[in-house]
Amino acid sequence: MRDPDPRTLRRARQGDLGAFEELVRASQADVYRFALHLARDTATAEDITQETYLRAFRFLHSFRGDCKFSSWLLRITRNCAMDALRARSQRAERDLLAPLPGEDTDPVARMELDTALTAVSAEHREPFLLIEVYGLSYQEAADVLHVRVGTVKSRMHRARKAMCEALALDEEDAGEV
Amino acid sequence: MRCERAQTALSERMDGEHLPNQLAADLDAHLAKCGRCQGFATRADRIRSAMRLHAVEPVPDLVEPIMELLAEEPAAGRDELASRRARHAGHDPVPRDDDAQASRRRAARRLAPIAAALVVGLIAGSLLVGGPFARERGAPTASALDIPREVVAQAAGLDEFRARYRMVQVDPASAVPRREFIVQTWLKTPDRFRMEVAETTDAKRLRSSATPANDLTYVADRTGSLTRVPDCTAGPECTEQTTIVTKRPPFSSSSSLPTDLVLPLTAIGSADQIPGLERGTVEGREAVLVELAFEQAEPLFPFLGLGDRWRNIHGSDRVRIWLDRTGWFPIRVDVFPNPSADRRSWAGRNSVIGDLSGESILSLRLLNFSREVDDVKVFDIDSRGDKVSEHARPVDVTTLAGSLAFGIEDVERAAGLDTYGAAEAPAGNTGEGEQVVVAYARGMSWLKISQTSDWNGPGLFGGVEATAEQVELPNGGVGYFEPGAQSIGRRLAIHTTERDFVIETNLPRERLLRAAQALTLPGREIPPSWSSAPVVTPSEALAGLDFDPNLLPIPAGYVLSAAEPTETAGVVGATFTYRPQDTGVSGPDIEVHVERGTVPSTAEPRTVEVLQLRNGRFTGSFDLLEWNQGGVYYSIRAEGEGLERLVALAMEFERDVPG
Repeated sequence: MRDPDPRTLRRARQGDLGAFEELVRASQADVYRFALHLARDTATAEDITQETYLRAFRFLHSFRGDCKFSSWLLRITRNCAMDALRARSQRAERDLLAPLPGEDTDPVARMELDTALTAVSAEHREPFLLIEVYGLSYQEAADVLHVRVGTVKSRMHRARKAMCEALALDEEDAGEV
Repeated sequence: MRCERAQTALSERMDGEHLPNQLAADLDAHLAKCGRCQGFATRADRIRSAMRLHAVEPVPDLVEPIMELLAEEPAAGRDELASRRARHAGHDPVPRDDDAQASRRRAARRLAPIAAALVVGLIAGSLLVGGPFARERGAPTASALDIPREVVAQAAGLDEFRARYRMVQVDPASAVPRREFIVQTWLKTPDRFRMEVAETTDAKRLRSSATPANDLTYVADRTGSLTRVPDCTAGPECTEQTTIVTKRPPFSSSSSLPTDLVLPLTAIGSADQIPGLERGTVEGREAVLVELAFEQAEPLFPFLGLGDRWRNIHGSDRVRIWLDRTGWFPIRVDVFPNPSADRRSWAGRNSVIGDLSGESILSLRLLNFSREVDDVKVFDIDSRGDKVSEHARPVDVTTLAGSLAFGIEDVERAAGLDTYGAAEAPAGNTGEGEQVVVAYARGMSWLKISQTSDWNGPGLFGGVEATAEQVELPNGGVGYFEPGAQSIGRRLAIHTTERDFVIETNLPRERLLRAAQALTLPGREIPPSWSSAPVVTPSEALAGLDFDPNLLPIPAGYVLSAAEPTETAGVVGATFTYRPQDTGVSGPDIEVHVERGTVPSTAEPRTVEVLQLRNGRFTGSFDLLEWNQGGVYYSIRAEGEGLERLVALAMEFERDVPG
């Protein structure tokens, strides 16, 4: 996720709707995907995406550029997702284990991923998604998740370790057949 | 290098983090010969490709509905008040209509009250100016009272104590901005303790915002402890999680006693000097006001370390404590946001919104106290919970005399404490070897000596690192001193030809060193193989270099505790470790490394440009700042310190410092 041109950001902060629209256009795919990862259904993901930009618009003047704009936006996305999930009293854990909707590009990769993902707790999956899929740095993931860098680092490593171990077991099983 | 460390480092490198030169070299060497770690690397790569393939999914275009929604909003940053008034008057900022977007808009409105609450907090936050500190700085000080010494003296005379506080947490950005609690502590010295936090916030308010009540319990007795916290990891319905430590050795650091609300021994007793700001009468009691940074006062809030559902407080936030003038227990404690630029930028990064600098964000008020605990049943530990054993076995002190290399009564005299008990326990975490622990106490003060003949390094016995400050012992010989932390006392490790010792205490440094006089064997320097690299004097390390680097002058409250010559692929360098001296300064170790060369570039550097330093690079996840100067590579690392502090330290570098 690329950070926007600072000039666009400045204009948007001054209330320029055209500039804000540019920000939405450039970032909506990432916001939506992250929302979908958290909510696991497309209608909720759309609601979360809208709410994210509504809050971003209201709070844009408080964004001081201490972290990247993209990290800031994803943190809002996450907060909105948590509110939405809480409001509907959904059990986050159960939902996060449901299969992802959407087309599958590679069935083998898909199977490996399912095997591996079930080995990881919800708490560890979030930093994993942010870093593996979005390519965020530890600092940026920490900014999004609102935890310390050390926490991201250790969760990330534990998630990767658990997934690698699950995959290794899977390979052994396949070998025995 | 062990596999665990190698895999962590590999993981970090995969994620684009920059590894220090030495670590990267060690990792590659390990990978070349370890099949297990090679397997880990291959699988981790496969998972990464699978994840990235999967991420490509169709995405709906939401630009139009979003912009329509925003068109109804007042302009950002200009008109919140008007909008708030409109909301208040029952105006609906989103007009109703029947088009296809209606359901989406309604969905957005369902979430709107939360956003509105945040806006209110934000307006309040913009008023953050000045504050009580700027105004009251010139207030006359209480007197030349030596408060830390008074607190330490009080500790020896205390037997029993019970206190009840009302606590209020204010967090304008939270769904429940004001939360109320009752905090109770019970203590029967030397080592029976109970702390309870019960949330008294209106249950309906908590329920309506799906906020779990933050009820906590911590109990410790002679040989065990219990911790009970809400467990909300499985979803909004929380359960209780109970952990019980059994068979713990006396004063085990794995379950230390968080007794600062009874007597602030950790926060205040360990400091060199804390000036009283003011005297007064608070709640009808004579009191002295002191002010500390939250970082230093943190032991007064031990419950913040239990569970993770508390608001964020910055290390520089100001904590004002009214202490009872005779009993030295806290009567009133308030945490005020520090109105500094650093704090504001931290608040922005952490979504801390709406704090007012003149308003307490966490307050404790003493409701009542007693110097007697009438019912000792409060210290009972019920047995339901996950159990962790520390495998200690109590032994009769009188049977030990022949096997100890110190006189039990000599320690009593030197430390001014009474013998409390003894135990045998495993010597290290790995379960090999045995140690004997003899514990001493008087009131709340305690000290323990552990002795083993099974220690073979690496590092010193008792978890003291080889880079700890070397100190001369009063009766000759050397020891290795490490300052205390929140749950660990000050430690002095002593290596002798026959045995290894560690003395740990909550008494001041001088009294710890005095207690070491009771040992009958002289302390020696540790064998070179016990430290990862040979530890030499700073001038020896400098003499081994073929260049003349600038170095960091010793920061206030620090000592230059160790220097290590290094060599990576033929490049010689040196690492210097600065540690906080034991004067109540809390801060991380600072590591400075110098070698000939330049900052290595990585394929995808995620770094911050540092304007003041040419070719500087900051890696946040390592708290590492690197730069080049005159053909020399410099790095400085200090855990938990941000870029600003590291740059400030880097600007201090001078020639010919440590000598």
